[in-house]
Amino acid sequence: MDFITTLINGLSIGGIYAMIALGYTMVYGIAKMLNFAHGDIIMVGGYTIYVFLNMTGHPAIAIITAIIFCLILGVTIEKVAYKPLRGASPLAVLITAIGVSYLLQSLAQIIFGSAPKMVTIFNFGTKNIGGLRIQISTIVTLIATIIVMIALSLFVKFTKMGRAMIATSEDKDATQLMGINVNGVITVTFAIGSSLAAIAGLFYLMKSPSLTNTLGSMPGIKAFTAAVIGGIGSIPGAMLGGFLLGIVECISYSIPVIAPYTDAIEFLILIVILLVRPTGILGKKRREKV
Amino acid sequence: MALLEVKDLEVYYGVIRALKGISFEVNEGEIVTLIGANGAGKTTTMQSVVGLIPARAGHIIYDGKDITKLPCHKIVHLGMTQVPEGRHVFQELTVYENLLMGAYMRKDGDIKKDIKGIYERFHRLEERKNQIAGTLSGGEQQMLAMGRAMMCKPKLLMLDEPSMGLSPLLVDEVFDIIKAFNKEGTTVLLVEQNAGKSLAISDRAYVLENGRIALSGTGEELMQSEEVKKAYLGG
Ligand SMILES: Nc1ncnc2c1ncn2[C@@H]1O[C@H](COP(=O)(O)OP(=O)(O)OP(=O)(O)O)[C@@H](O)[C@H]1O
Ligand SMILES: [Mg+2]
Repeated sequence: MDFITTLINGLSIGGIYAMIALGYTMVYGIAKMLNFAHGDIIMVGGYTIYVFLNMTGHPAIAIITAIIFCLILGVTIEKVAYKPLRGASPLAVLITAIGVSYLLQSLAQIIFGSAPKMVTIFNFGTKNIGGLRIQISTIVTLIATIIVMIALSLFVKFTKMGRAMIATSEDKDATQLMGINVNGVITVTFAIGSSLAAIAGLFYLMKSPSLTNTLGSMPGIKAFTAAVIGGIGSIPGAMLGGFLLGIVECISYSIPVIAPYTDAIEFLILIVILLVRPTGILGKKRREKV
Repeated sequence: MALLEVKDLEVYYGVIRALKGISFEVNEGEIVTLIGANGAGKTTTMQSVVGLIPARAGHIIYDGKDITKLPCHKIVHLGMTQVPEGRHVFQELTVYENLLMGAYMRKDGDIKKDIKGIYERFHRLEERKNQIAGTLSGGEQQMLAMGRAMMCKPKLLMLDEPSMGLSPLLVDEVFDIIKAFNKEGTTVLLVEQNAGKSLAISDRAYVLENGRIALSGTGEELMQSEEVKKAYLGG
């Protein structure tokens, strides 16, 4: 019984990781860069929710504003910071992304100070389901992440833009030969990734209501780990990696002897998987073209 | 007036001057071939015309418009596309999805009908329409790449070594298809190593040597030329 609760918690936190991991993996697949500032979008989403919740008192307004704000922020960061570096060395891009990350964190600290803010968006409480005591927010998170992921998968598979995203991630030149503006596809990718990060911020605050300017750091790193475990660049891989990492995390937390080493265990799994399968679980080795 | 006019085009890779000022033209309705040895600059020319590699100097005029500085996707919107060297089908998409990608910028209602037309021409593609393109054979990928390009409904179709790596039978089929496309009104700019077959279907041709145009003439003239015979026709 306890194990089932642990599993549900794991799936729920895993869903959040998966949602963030999708942002990393899609941007990596399509723009071929590691967007290290992605985790901080979660934090920006958190503060946006905080501000608009206090201003309006309406959770829905706060959430929608946060999603839109993060979407615009993500697209702007891409245009201002990353686009001029297209074709530059990967190291230059990576350093820029780290710079953007620090910039966002510092700005948040300047604006909101360093004391944590308490944000209670919904008060769902807990419920007994079949003898299990489960937080409703956990279930809500799990269901919502699954819906988002199904929607995203359908979008990628069945829309023109989705196909253009797959094409761009595979072969930019051939995609342009179809008359497709690759920069536009990259913009859409950042928009989607950043919106997902905002939603992840919401779920994070539902789990633990304390908001600081480094809120996004740890989940960012965990989700990045999840993306790499699943196979960076692969959308199903990010989902799988996220859930896997979440479950491992919750199981590890539930065993007192190893609980303090949970983070280490997660990163150890990353190392082991990379040793066995350098491309991650669902990552493909690009077939060399003749 | 020429549909495509390339004037004194120079392209560099770093300090390497790959195209040293080449000029040629393609008139509406023609099949024009560029032949040349490995490394002569054929692919560079093709990629530069379509905007994938920037020109250092010179001009590319298409349909009366200077497209030298335009990005690739905008050039494609003007009505030209290319079957690139090595086919470059989208490996993770199915055959059908690849054809849809070809029609990405079209807004007319004939897409489904045109895909049917492609299937009629390439029966193999219809049998394999739900197969992932990465698992197609080389010949099938070439058919798909050509079908995908035709789905763009280009006025000018450029093909970079479409016969590369194909069996003799399939090579003949590819040339037949190019001829058929041309009969239906598509202007063709072809790059080939198979000089004999390509000159035979060409209205005009250019010989590219070391980033320069060394010879030009009608397909027939070049086939009779001693230089071409020696260097490209094996005797
Ligand atoms: N990306 C690149 N960087 C540096 N040099 C290049 C690059 N691409 C091509 N070149 C050089 O430019 C010259 C022309 O190459 P190009 O690919 O246009 O030849 P090609 O005529 O298409 O040859 P092939 O018949 O082998 O395809 C070659 O000397 C080649 O080495
Ligand atoms: Mg070539």
